[in-house]
Amino acid sequence: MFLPPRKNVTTASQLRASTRISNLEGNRTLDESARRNRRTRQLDGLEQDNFHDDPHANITWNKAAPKFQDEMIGGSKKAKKNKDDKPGHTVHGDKARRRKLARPEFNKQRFKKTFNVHVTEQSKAILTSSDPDFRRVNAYFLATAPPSNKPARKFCAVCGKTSNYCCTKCGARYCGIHCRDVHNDTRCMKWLA
Amino acid sequence: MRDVPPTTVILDNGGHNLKIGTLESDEPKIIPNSIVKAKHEKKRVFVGHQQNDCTEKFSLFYVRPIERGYVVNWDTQQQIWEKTFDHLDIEPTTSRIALTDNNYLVPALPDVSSEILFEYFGFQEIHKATASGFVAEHAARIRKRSCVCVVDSGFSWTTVASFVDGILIQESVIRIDVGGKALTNKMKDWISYRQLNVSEETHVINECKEDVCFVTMDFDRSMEEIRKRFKTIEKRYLMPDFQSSFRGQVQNIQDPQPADIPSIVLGVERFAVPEILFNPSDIDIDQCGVAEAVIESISSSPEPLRPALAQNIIVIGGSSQFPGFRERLAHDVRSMLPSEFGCRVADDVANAETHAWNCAQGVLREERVPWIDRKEWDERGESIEFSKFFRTTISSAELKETRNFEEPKEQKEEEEF
Repeated sequence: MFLPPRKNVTTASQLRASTRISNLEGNRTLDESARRNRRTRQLDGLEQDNFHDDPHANITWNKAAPKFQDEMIGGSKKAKKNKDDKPGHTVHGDKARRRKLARPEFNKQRFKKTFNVHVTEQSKAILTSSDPDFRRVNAYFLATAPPSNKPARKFCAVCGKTSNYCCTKCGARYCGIHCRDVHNDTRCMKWLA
Repeated sequence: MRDVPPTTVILDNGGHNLKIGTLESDEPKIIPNSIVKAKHEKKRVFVGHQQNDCTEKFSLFYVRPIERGYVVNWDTQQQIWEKTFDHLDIEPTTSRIALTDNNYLVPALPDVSSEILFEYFGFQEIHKATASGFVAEHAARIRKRSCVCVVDSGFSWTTVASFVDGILIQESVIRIDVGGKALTNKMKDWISYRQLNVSEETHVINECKEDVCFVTMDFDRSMEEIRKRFKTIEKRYLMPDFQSSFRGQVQNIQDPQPADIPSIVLGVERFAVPEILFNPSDIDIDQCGVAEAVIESISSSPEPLRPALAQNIIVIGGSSQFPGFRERLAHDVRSMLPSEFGCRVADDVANAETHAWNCAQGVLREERVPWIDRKEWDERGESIEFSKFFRTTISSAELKETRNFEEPKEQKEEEEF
């Protein structure tokens, strides 16, 4: 209606990518695709709920309960008895452990699949069903917001103010000598989530 | 068939909090939609409302059922619902439930909630819609304004959707992958790098975000104030210790700093964090901001409706509660609309977080919504739900030619590494 057509914008760094410059900087310079991968990984981190390990991961609920390393013969009888004594603990203790033991492959599978893969599979499933509802096909990806019309603003990765420079190795932005030094000492080429 | 009419339970199943109440309640109960494990308390986990019993909210470990707006962890969700129904004395077998589910705004995942609600809990009837859908219904039926553009800025995402007479214009739905969770995580990331390692303190930083952040009307001017060190924006935030103080305190930067309390100073973060909603490109997300999404949504609606849509923009969702959000949105949208259009962002939303729930209550009191019962669901399953609850201006048959399945772009990129 009232918007100009969206253009495919070539980024400045793509235009600038000359072989001479990259040779000068040595092998340690990240190329555009590696930088993009880094950015994607960092953005995926924004959807994470926790940045530390489950505090309940290594709790032993009952000293007599069989451990993963234990053999089944002998130990299991005793453990069963204890389980019956304390039904209150079964939910997060023994039962959870048993479930974990029973299907470790299942858990692995579930966490491997990303959200997008689930959505894609569902779209395919609907399309191949007998009476597909076409409104449900690919709707999630079609609804994704288009890129902005405005060029992206650049901010210093160290202090957050507007920045004019960018690290030649990893592409992070910085605003001045001080922030550059901080960046080189702490974050350049290592990624802290 | 039934002697007593069933109690109607309204459940707005949000990513961070679920809002629940019956048709008779004045206000919904807000209950965290997560299971929390605390470091100091190893004997139990805190499900839903039990989080009030958790006194030391350090290093909480969250298990959430919802990811990117959709329930993916049904085990967790079922546990939380069960505890919530118990807590509020809701007897499912004598009730019917109105549930919000984002699959009816942007269909993405198989909807298995009916299975749990009918078979596990035993509800009599189910009605499903989305939070935005309820707001639009409310606007159309009770306020008598048929065209409405609903902006829902929630915990896991932000969506903009246009409705006419409560019916969704599907091509006008815009989804931005920025919500409260992303903002909190980004804020944590910045503070951890610049001042104090808070990467484990999701709860504290989330409260800090709610307390200190604001949407600036003029980003460049605010940035200039920071650069010139005027000290007008900076605030000090005193961290809670969960012994004497249970929520952090905001302090002016000029005030003397208490020696024994750990604190952080928030300058650029105060307005740069909510700014991500308006400019996701600031943190390298290649999507447009809320204001542009509103324009995009309006301009992909049928042309005769556009002026009316721009006149009736309603903002809901927890992340829209930053001070100045609505004013900034109105300002930015106004500047991008054609000059002959009017632009109005509704300012009668008392509480953006519970507004959708209140609208749902208003709509359900009219008793004209479709319900499905166990028998219908047994016979036709998921397809009846979509034909009843997913009401769009364009039918499935009309889309048949145009919508072929393509591999989404995002996935292709992932395959590269």
